[in-house]
Amino acid sequence: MENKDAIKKQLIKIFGVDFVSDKQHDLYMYSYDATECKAFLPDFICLVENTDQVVKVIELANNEKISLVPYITGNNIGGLTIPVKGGIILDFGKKMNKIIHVDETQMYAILEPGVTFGQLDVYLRKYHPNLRYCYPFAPPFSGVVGNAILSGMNNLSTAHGSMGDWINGLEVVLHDGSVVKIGSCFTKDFRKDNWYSRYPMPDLMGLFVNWQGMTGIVTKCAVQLWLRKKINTFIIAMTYGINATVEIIREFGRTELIDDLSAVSVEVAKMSLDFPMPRKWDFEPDYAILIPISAHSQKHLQVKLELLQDVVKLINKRVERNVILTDFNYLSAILGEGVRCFADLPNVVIPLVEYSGLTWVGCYAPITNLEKLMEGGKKIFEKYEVPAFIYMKSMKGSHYAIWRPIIRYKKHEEEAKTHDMCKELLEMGLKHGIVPYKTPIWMAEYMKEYIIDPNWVRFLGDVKSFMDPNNIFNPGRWGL
Amino acid sequence: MENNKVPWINNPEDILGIGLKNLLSYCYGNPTFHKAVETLNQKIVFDFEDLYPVLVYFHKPTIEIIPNAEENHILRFKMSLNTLIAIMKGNYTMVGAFIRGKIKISQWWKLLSIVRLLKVLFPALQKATERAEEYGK
Amino acid sequence: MGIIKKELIKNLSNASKIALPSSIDRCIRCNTCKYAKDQYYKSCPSGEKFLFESFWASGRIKIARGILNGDIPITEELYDAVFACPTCGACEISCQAPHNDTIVTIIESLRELIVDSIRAPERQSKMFERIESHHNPYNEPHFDVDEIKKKYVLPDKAEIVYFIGCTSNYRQQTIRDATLSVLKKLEVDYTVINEHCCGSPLIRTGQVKNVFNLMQHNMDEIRRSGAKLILTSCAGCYRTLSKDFPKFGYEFSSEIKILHISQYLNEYFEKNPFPLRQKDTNLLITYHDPCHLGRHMGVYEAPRQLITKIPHLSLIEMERNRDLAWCCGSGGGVKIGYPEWALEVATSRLEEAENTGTEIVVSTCPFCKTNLKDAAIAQKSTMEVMDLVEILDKYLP
Repeated sequence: MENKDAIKKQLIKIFGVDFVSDKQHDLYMYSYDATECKAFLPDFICLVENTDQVVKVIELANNEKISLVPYITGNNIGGLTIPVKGGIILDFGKKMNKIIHVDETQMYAILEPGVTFGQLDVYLRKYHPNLRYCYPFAPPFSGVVGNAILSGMNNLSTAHGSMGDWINGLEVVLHDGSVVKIGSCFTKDFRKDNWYSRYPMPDLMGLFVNWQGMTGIVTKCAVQLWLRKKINTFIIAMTYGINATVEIIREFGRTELIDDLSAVSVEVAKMSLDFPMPRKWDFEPDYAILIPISAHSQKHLQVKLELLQDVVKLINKRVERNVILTDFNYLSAILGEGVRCFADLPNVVIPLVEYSGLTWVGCYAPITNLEKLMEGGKKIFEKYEVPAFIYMKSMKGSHYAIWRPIIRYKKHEEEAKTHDMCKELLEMGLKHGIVPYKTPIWMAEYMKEYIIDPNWVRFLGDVKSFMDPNNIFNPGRWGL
Repeated sequence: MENNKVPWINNPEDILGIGLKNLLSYCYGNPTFHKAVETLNQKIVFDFEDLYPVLVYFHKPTIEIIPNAEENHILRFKMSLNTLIAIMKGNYTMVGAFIRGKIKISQWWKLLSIVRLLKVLFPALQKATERAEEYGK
Repeated sequence: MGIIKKELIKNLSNASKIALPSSIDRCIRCNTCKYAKDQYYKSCPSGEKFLFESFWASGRIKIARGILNGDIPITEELYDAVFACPTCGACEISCQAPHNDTIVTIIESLRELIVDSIRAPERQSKMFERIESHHNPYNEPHFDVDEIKKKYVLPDKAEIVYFIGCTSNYRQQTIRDATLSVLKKLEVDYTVINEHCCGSPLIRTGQVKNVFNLMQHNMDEIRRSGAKLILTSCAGCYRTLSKDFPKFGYEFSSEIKILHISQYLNEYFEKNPFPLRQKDTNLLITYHDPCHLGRHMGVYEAPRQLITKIPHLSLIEMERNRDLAWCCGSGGGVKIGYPEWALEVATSRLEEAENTGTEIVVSTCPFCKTNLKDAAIAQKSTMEVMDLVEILDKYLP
């Protein structure tokens, strides 16, 4: 970078001397993440506090043709905050993290980008105990807004879909420094009471959701909240064979009786019980399906459970071995505290933090093809001699599914092997209709070359060019 | 205490074995419990009919858990996982479950052995139930 | 990722040679170390102050990895990120990953690596010079052990050695005197030794070259006393004697037990009820868990149980207590290296103590007392700061 000192001076003027760094070790922190995505050093780290600073830094970036990469907690599994073209990391996680407003009646929260799940959970429990948000299998210190605008999934997904579906409004700063409010909050003045709906204005939100920060910088986000029902509990299904597992995923999702459904290979349960490299025997069940379920009363819960049992009875007629449906609170008391990490969200899912690397091929998937994905995935895990860690969900009443083979690995030793494994999983998955989310660059490049309609690719590029003429917003994503 | 560091039970790696070990570990350090374990001193099969059988060998003072092991002419408790959980919830007692046919016991006439086993199981199940109820809060 | 540069660690202590390479394949930076897991309390003083990623536990592990990989050169630019940490261990409690109990060791080893490669930061290096010349980090003339023995009529050999610790001996002498007085009142068979610094200030700041001499000297003195029990009123000395001595290859024989004074007195008053003085009024106190006693050594309940045994004392807990206690801010070389920041951290803790509505914040570490008291003075707080043994001495007839 040519005039680095001059740029640094300007950044200090915008953010303050204590909140700008170009020290080697500080830059190193942001150069790579848990995944096997290639590392790139940024040029500066800036800790952002407010929208004004974002406006000013965008002006600077346009003048100097320097990249801006938004960062909250860096927990995404996709290399999304790795600055592939260097530039400025805008860290929102440390200072721009206020919960601006919670509307009890209309059930939404307006958040700054740095708000985390843990922070929001504690806040709601203290001040708005009737309301809850949703939580992914992610640690408490993970960004809510980042997850939402990347359509993350969570523990209400089977009922309500991905987090991207529940964004009521955004405030974004565009390439020209203009600050725009999108959604029902479109008014000239900022009001706290009108962030209640994404629609029915022309839907500009799609220009920012899932764009990985390529089209503008989000500085506020309103997310829908949900009623915290009186009873919140868990049941668990254990299944033998792929058929039974997929039947439960599909059929339970359709019942509209459950909050969520997450299926994992039984090895994953063992990983949470101090067995990092677990064995699996044929006589053991193959999958464990955790089902959060909520109800207004015990009677309501009882009815739901009876109806689900009826579904199980019908499924049991179609499968080789009966599905076991039981109370997870009691089963976890038998198995051990470790398995609670999947239930008591937001939480650290112990199997995910075992080593120094974590990656996955996280996809939306057609729910019709889950059997093929599971078979194919299992073969690839066996080929690479890695304990199967496959995570699946029913989404939005079984309209579609999530299929996510997860690989934990040692960065120092196993990066190349892990990348090869991911590539095979991607190739296999694409044949069966998957769409990766939070797409790493290498996946996007592969997909563009082999499978995506070229018209779509051209359209993507056109929109990007329009939204970001100088290509300052997280350049390199999707090969743009 | 972490499961796989408890020295008096082996380290099973199957899911039911892990569960049984955890269950029995609730009472680790309780002298009465350990005495009951020592007194038991025999092999018992817990046959979870919807899953698989597990052989538990109480050979004082340690316990060995072997998954999917079969052995004849020993005490065998056959039940579903849900029956065990129903007992923990208090929906019925062990005797009640037996009378209802939810638990089948081979060699049921070995009453002394059954009583000794219950002296081991009851306190463990009680502790597990307390834990489950905490989770439910 | 590159190859580990093993030549960087060849001169380090054995403990560091093991700890540092372990950082290579640990930590995905899930960020759980940053906050108390369930309650989401702030728990990392350096992260909260300096904010950049390198000031949190996961950042320091990454620094270790970056240095060993050759991605980060060892320069003075690293000083703040590596040395501005009180090594309170809150990150170890919050972290849920398998490496969680090695984080503080990795940080201390990282400091040792930097000291070995270039030098210690200037302020911290003063401690090394002072300990070399005066056997204590306060630059005070070495104390006269015979004077104490004479004053308290102590023998040369006894069942118990009271290891005073430098902060009690040179800065918080009321703690030393209260401990000596209490042990005397209880007619315990004890003595004191010609102790040198336990080595904690050097270990925490990576300046370990002299530590072996200190440990050898102290062990020799303890052996010479014939004692079977070592008592200390300093949480830092307790941790060092119990955990760091063995780490550096100096292990006491299995016959010799090490206890913090709160543990010993709690056991004592379990068997011998505390004598009641009728005229005392009730005193509301709150208790600050020293990091080296609490998180590092797992001793949370003994001081509390001891408090319940002292009549007329009522304990009101701070919101963040036990393993969630906010650090006082003085440990890990922070008091000397970053004195203003150390006061800020202590001020935050003091505010928490004030919120309990009590008048006295009690601790069981002279270093905690020092920093909390300095904060109380700076803030003109009405909160009194005392050590538990000082209160006990006041109440014990």
